[in-house]
Order: sequence, then structure tokens, then C-alpha cells
Amino acid sequence: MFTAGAESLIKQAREIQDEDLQKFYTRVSKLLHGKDFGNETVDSLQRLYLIVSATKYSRALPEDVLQLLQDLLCSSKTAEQFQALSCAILRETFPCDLRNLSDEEGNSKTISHVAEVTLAQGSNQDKVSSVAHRVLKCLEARQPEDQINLVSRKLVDWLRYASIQQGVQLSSGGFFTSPRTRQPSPITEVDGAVAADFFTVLSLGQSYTEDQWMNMHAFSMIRKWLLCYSTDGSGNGDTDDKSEVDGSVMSMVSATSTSSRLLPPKERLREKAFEYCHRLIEQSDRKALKKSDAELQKACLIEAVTVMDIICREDPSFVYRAFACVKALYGRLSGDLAFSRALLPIAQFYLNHSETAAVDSEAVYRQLFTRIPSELFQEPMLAFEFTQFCRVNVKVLRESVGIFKHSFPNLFKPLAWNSPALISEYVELLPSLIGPDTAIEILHSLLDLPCLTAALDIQLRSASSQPSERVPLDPSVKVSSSMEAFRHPYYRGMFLYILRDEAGTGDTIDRLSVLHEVLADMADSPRIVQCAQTTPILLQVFFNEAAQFADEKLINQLVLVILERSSLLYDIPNYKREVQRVFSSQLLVLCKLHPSLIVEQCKELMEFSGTTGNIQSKENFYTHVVWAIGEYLSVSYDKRCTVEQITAFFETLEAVLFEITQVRLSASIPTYSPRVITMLLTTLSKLASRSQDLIPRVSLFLSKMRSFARSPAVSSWYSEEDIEEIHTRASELINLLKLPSVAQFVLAPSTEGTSPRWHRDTNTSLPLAMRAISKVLQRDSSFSPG
Amino acid sequence: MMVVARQVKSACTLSREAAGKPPPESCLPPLDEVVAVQEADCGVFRLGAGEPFQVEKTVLWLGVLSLGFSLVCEPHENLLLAEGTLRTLARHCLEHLHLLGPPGTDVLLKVDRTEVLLDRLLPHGQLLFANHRFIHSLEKEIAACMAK
Repeated sequence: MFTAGAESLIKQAREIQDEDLQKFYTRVSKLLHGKDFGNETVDSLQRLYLIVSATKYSRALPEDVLQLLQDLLCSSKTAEQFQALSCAILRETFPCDLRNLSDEEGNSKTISHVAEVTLAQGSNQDKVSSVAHRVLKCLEARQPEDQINLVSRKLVDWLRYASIQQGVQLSSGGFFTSPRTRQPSPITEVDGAVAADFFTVLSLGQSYTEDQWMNMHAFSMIRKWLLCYSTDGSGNGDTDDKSEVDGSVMSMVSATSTSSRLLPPKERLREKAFEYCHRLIEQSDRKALKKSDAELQKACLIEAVTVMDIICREDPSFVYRAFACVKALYGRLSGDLAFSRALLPIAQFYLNHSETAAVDSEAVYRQLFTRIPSELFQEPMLAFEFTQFCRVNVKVLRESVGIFKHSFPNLFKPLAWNSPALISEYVELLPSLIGPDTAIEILHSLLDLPCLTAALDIQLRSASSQPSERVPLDPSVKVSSSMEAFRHPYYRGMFLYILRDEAGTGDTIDRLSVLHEVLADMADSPRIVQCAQTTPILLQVFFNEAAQFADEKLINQLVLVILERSSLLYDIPNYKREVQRVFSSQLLVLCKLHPSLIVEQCKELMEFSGTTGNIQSKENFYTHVVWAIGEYLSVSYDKRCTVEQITAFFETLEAVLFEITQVRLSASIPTYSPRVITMLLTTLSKLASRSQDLIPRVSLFLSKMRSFARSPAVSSWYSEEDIEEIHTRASELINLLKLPSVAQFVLAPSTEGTSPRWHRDTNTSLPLAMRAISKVLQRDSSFSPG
Repeated sequence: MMVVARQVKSACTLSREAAGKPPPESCLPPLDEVVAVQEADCGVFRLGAGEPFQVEKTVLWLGVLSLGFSLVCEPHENLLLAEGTLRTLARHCLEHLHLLGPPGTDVLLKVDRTEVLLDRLLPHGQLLFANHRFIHSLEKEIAACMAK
């Protein structure tokens, strides 16, 4: 809607020519000199703002325009509109030597604007402190004093001793009002009752007095203030305290208000802030009459608990009093999902202080890790905050909170639901969840993350459907959709497994393929597709982490999972291909870490590589498996490697190669690339070089391959280069195998640790080596004709 | 700002796509401001240090039809309050800048109005714990300024 017009306007502002710009500046200058500021002045200033803000770099305005703008800003007689405009413009301009704006007389609005400009321009420390000085002078005439202590004392005044009468309304005139009706009425709570204690942000009144406004502002900034200044060591005990008003309210929440008068300002502020938070927590129990106030109550709860947490961290003597309050609050809120966002700061509080207070926190964590992710995964803000909580506290959670480590099925639910928003958080969080005992189950859970998304979607839709649509189906009924399957007894167990809360009931289920099939109708739903796009990233993260600590046993298990799951995946477009790509590269990593796995898993690998169907469904992965066999099946990697094993693998691969190179005139064009053929040829040759009885067999096969490559039928399957490649490879291998000892050297794996990278790459290393040898042999044969 | 805006746009698009709603570009003409904000998509994401701000930030966003509003917060700030503030700000922007009406390019020039709104509802970037009475007073002041 807006973009085209807005973009052209911005472009104009950016590309304005120097000449036009100067003319414009002159016009602005003239307008500002004039007495009357009309619409034209407003218009010009608006355009000037667009010009200075549209570019990335700051523009330098001419001197006189700057002066005029500063005058406008500092004069208390200027209308708000012009002050706002000049403030905005000055903020965006090139930092210039602003004359000492803080020397001017001005009301609080002016000072506020000046402060804004000073901070935006990144002025040096002196300018900032002189503005601060000016600000504080407005608050308290007494000078000089440490600025921080001064502010602390003012904050205490505003937080704790604001008036509890309503402000007198300015425009309360009317024909029937008499002086008597102008009596200030008391402040009320959010539910309408008369205020029970001192004024807070949850106190309502028709209009507010100045100190009540300051109360609201003070609480709004107290968290930041405490975080910045609480730990400063200064505390020069200024006990000359005029801030206790005579008629001050003796608070019911504060048992120590009399003795606190003797504390230094920062400590006193902590005390009063604590009392304020305590009162807010009590006020939040009331039923607010307005919805916006109910929302504010929740926000206040979160803030109050967080501020208490900060105070307790500064001064552990508050912990016992705080716990009494927080524990009671938890008791009040724990059953109510509407207050779940407040559970997070409560859990943080427990995490930080439960040891100090020797309080049992199991129940809190249990609620946090079981109910929240499983019942509220679809709330974006809560999911984000929950994930942040886990990420920030992961070290402590791993070590001291038992339930955390096994909650990963639940922890994955927010991610499954809203992958794009949370993926970067989980990339950081995931490594800490993986341990030797949970790795396999986590791998299976990650592979089935899109299934989890589908299951959650079905669960939600089912919960909001008619009761009649939620009745379990008869077992004999055939299901026609995933929704029906959810209600069918045969499938129910599978869904319940996917939606489980805790780990430990099994790494995966037997009938996974059945589940994938029944979820097929949801495979193109956008949410599931988004999840499927982020899962390969997490798989990569998983393997990177697992490789750090995995022992031989775990590596073997991982390889088995890889082999098994490479065909057992939810059928989403591109998903299988991406996952198999990760598997391919990770298989090689695992082989490198533990080369003996080829020998240890020879049965499974043989079965996998012997199944020709695997070539069609996962060619890339298959090629990697075959390469790994060729590379690592050798006595030099594992003494247990026997001749029988080599022969068995040889025969398996030979059979496969034979099958796929059958020249059937009626056969359709094969769907596998020539790379599979060359890889099989190379691997067979490698195996033959290690068990030399096989050399005659492989040589025979290789010469058959040469004629295969030249056959007319094949020339229609592959391109010229591909055929040439097959032919060349076959020839080189034949030549190589004529000299068994050389072949053994060339085709044997290098066990040295630090070899250049091209040795590792199947495409570059072997052909290079073989070509070199071939050339040597050819030269050799030309010298010796016999 | 462009970096943030781009990320917000893709976050909003992905979120709407997942929920099965029409993409931002093809939205129908709107109802009134209050309803538009209530039905808006919202979300949040984190910007790491250096991407592009020096320190870590949290970005809250609201997608009202084809307009995006975002609020960049410090990590420790109260997100629930920020959400409420952003919704209130969005509502006022829609109202005072006439964003729901026929599109006009002069919204870019109305910086004085935006400044007044920000000055009252988010002074110096400070989130305010304002109950409905405080908000009412602020709204009266805003209306008075806008009328001039």
C-alpha cells in the first residue's frame, strides 16, 4: 500500500542536489526568523527532518539553521509541535558543538528535549553530566551531592511516600459543582475498593498529582536503576533525611519502616523497593474491573518478582522475607495457565535463591517443564521467554534440576510449532541437552520433529472440535485422514508416544512408517514444511556435539540409526534429501573417529549396500556408504578384519554392480548417476587389492565394464563425458591391478592424521593418483617392448 | 533499522504462512483501529551482539495488515509490558496518522505527530507501568497536541 510512494519520497530526500538543498536551508532559515510559525513552517521542518534522517550518515546543517533550531528547542514559549520537530532534527544531525544548552532556563519539557539531543549526539562525558546536573537541580535545590545518592533518595520518596489522595481535577468546573464537591477523594484499588496502603502503579484515581506521576515513573525505571547502580561502593551515609513526611502511611507490608531511616540511601532504596514489590504482589490478587488493568497486574507481578530477585542478589538478607512472599504467590498462581508468564521469573527466583533459603523447588520446576511447553507451546511470547530461560540457565539446570535433562520431548514442542522464530535459540540450547544416555532418543526425536508438528496441530484442532468429533473410533473402521487416525485405537499409541512429555520410554517406536503414512495428508502444510526446513540444521548441531564425547559404543549406535532412518522419514518434499545429505557427511565423520565401525557393523552395512533399491531412493547416501566401505575395511584399521569379510563385501557389491549394469534392450533409462558405477568399481578394486585372490575376478569385471561403456544402448543413457569417465576409470583400475603391490599402495587408505584435504575427497584423490601411475606405467611399457 | 525491518518482515510472513493466513501484501481493507490491533500477529526474536547492534537486543513485532511495528528492547526488559505498550502505540499511530485510510505518502512527513506519541507513551524509550487512568490522562494530552 504505502511502499511505492514512501520509497520515492525517501529517494527524493536522499538524492536532493546540493543546490536545491542550500536553497531549502535558506528558506527554512527565513521562516524560522519570522515571528509567526504557520503551516508552511511546519511543512518545511517536516521535510527537513525527512532529509536529515533519510540517509545513513548524518548531515551537517548550516550554522544559522542550527542556531535557530537550538533557540526553538530551548525556549519555553515554543509550541510543543515545534519543540518536537526541532528535537527530532537535532537528534539526527552531525554532532556539532552545541552551545551549552544546559545553561538555559527552561521548564522540565525543555530539559527533557535537551537531554534527548545530548544523548543522541553521543556527546562527551562533561556535557552529559552538566545536563544531568541541570535535571537534578529541578528536583532538588540543595547542592552539591553525589548524584546517585540524590536520585536514590528521590526514588524512595516517590515510591513509598506519594500521596494517597486523588489529584484535584483541573477542568472540574460545571454549573452544578459547588466548592464542597471539589474535596479530593481517596485513591482506589483496581477493583474499586478504597486504597488499602501506599500508592502504587496499581492505584486508580480520576486524576493524579505530580508525586503520583513520579511514583509511576520511578517504578518503571527501578529495575534498570538497581541493575546499574546498586553495587556501587560509595554510600556516603547522608542521614540528614527530610524525606519522611509527617503524615506518612505506616505500611502493613513493612515491618522495618522505622529503623530503615538510618540506612544509607542505596540500602534504603532497596528496602523501599522491596516493600513496593511486596505490595504489588498483594494488589495483583484483586480482580481488576478493566481488562487493560488485568494485563498490567500480570506485568507488575513479573516485574515485582524480578526486582525482588535483583535485590536478593545484592543483599541476601532479603531472601527469607522474599521467599515467604514468592512462595505464597506461586501457590496462588500455579494452577492458573493464564498466569504462566509470571511462572518464569518465579522459577528464576527459585533457581537463584532456593539453595540459600533451603527451600524445596521440585514442584516449581516440574510445573515449568511439563505443563508450560506441552499446553502453551503455541503462545509465541511465552515460548520465546521459556526458551530464553532455558538457554540462559542451562548450566545450572543441567547440574541441579533433575527433571530438565529428560524433558527434551517437551522442550521440542515450542520449536516444532514455531521453528523459524525459535531455531536460533535452539541451536544454542540443543548441545547442552545431549548426553551419552539421551543422544539416541534425541536423534530420533529430531528426525521426527515434523511429525511432532503435525501431531500438535491435530491435537489442537481436536481439542477445539465438537465433542462428537472427539469420540474414539471403532477399531474396525478404516481411517481416511490424520484427524481420524488420532482417534483410532490402532494409531493412538503412536500419537501419544510422539506427544510424550518425558524421555525414557524408548528411543523410538516400531511402527514409525505407519505413522508417517497416516500423516501424509499434512505433509504440505506450511507449518510442517517450515519445521522440515529447520530440522537438518539441528541435526548438524546434534552430530557436531555428539562427536565431541561419543565413545565407540555410541558411534556404532549412531551409525545404525543413520542406516535405519535414512529410509524411514516423513515424506515431505526435500526433507529426505536434506536429511540424507547430513547423514552422508556425518557418516564419514563417524568413520574417521572410529574406523573399526565398518568391521563391527559389517552385517548391517552389507545388507544396506546389497539392497539395490537403496540406490534409487538415496543415491548420494549410498555412494558415501560404499566409499566408506572401500576406505575403511582393512586390516590397517582393524585387526579383526578377515579375508572372509572382504570377500563377502566384494561379492555383495559385485552383485549390485552386475544388476545395475545389465544391458536390457527394453529397459528404461536408469535413474542413477554414473558416479555410482565408478564408485562401485573403485571400491571393488580397493577390496581386491587387499585380498589378492579377488584380482582376477575384478579384472574380468572391469574389462566387461569397458565394453559396457562402449555399448550402443548405454550411449543413449549417459552423456559422452560420463561414458568416457566410466571407461577411463575402468581402464586405469585394470592397469593398476596388473601391479598388485602398487595397487595395494595406491588403493590403501592413508592412516596419517595430517594429510592435505584433497586426499580425502573421493573425486580428486584417486583419479589423480591413478593417472600418475598409469602414465608411469605407459612410459615404462614403451621402454620395454618385451 | 533496515536490518531489523527486514527480519521483522520475514518473521511476520513466515508466521502468517504457518497459521494459514493470507500474506501481508494481499490484505483486505481494514476495520477500526482497535480491532485491527487486537487481531494483529505478534512475535518476538533475539538479535545477537553485533547483528547489527553492539549488544544483544530483543525485538518485539506487531503485524497489522500490511504494516509492521517493531520495538527493540534490552534483554532484561519486561516483555509483557512491552507488548502492551507496542499495541497501544500501534493503535495511536493508526489513528493519528490515518494509516487505515487510503494510502498517503505524507505519513513519512508527520514526524511531529509520531514524536508526540512516542514522547508521551514511551518517554526516552522508557516502558511505563501505566494503568488505564494514567493512559487516559496521557491520551487527553496527546489529543490536545494533535488538535493544534
